[in-house]
Amino acid sequence: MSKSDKPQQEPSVVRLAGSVDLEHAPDVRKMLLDAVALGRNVLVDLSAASYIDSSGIACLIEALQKARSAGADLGLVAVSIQAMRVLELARLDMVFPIHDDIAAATAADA
Amino acid sequence: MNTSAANTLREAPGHGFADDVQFLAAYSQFFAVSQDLEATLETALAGIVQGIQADSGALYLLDQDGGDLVCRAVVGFHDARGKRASPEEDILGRCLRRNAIESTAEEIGAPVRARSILCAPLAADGRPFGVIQVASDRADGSFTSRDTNLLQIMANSAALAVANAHKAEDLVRQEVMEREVYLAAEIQRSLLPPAGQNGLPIHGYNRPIRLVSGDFFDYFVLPDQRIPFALGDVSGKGINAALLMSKAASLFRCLGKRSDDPASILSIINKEIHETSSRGMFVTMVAGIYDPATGLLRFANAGHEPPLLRKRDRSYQTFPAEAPPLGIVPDMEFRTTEAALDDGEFYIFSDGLIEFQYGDQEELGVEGLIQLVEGLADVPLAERLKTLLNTLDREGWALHDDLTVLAIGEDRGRADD
Repeated sequence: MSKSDKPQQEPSVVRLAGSVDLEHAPDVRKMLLDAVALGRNVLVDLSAASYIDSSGIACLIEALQKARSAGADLGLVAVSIQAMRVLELARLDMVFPIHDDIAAATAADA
Repeated sequence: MNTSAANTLREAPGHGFADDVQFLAAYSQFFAVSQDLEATLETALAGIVQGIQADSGALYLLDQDGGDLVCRAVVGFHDARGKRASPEEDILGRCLRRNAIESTAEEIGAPVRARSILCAPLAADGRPFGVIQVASDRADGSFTSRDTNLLQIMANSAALAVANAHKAEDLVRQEVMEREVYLAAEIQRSLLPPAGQNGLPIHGYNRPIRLVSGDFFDYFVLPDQRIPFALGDVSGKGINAALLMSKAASLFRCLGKRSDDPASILSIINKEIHETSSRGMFVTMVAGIYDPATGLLRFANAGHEPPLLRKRDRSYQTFPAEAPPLGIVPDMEFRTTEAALDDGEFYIFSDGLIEFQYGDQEELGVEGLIQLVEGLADVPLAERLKTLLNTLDREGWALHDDLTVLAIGEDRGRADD
């Protein structure tokens, strides 16, 4: 697979629900890194994520860094108001591509 | 068995019930004092071999990953020490799997005088973790039911002793680790500016939620009297956060003496942390420099909680981050912001402060912090941070994260009030 083929492929979607925090970080990290390992772009659906802390964000950042070093990307989708507040405060909206929904994310990719 | 154990147990039991009981009592009592695993294993086996008058014995424990049985103590069977046996194999494996006494039935009562073997499981909480094997070369070639009973009882108390010795070893290991964390915490505290540097218009406070902190603050006075300052918060908690915190703090200490541009200091620290970043960890940080001569604050904010400027007229201004935290993206532009202290006060804090929680729901928040600060406006700045935290503690607010706060303000003018 060449790098230029990647955007044409369906992205892998990971849904995170509930608290994305220190306690759940090991599971979240594994889910995200497994998705990144598929080599396709990854979309993380945060619509059901009620709370996210710095450990949860670290998992997202590690996955983003791994995805980009493999020539793919990782975007956030349907970010809840609470999570968005955290991301904007830390200006992580400058780091992650953020989309309203999967359709918008896929359109942005094409 | 070592001499003292031999002395304790004195002689092997006779054939009477009372002799057995006496021997068993001495056997289990001996373990009460032993916390050394190797010594316990040797004693356990030697006592059993002596107790049931076997000719040889071996004690096997499952190795750490629970795979093979490994021979850890021997009496007689000298070539067996260190031998590994798969739990799938022969009498040892059968005894372990069934968690029950096993004997080599084919040899018992065989016409040719043969060696008989008896195996008892060592189990804790119903889970077998080892096997004691004894062998007899007696003329009649077999163990009696008394031997079997005695072995069962002795194996039980041996198992208890071995499990205790294991726990004692774990405890010692835990204590060593705890001591190391204490030492790390001590080193970490020494990285913070010494408390109560009299006369300086800057004050900081750090309270870790665990022993070590993922937060830090720093300030120092340059030869021209200007004061570089910084406050940072590493993602996560515990030792890994503390180690990254030490790196960020050291980089600031070094760069703060060489550059008076907070944006370029953050830019260099960002690159350094990104180069060796691990597991997506990052650092939010406000770094700046205060000039007491002009009252000018210059600072840059990398993804950190917005600092608060309390103005002379008691209005507040916040300074939200204009760039993401450090260590995420290698090439990032930071911007230096200027503000006049103008007899006001400047507060930088980690989110631990505004996430102070009352009961299940209510968080202190920035509004709550402002209320507290207003209530303490008459307390000199040097004591205000401590008083503020004491107030929260007294009212029953609970801390959930490392907490750090740094305040800059001149107490001049108060005398005129």
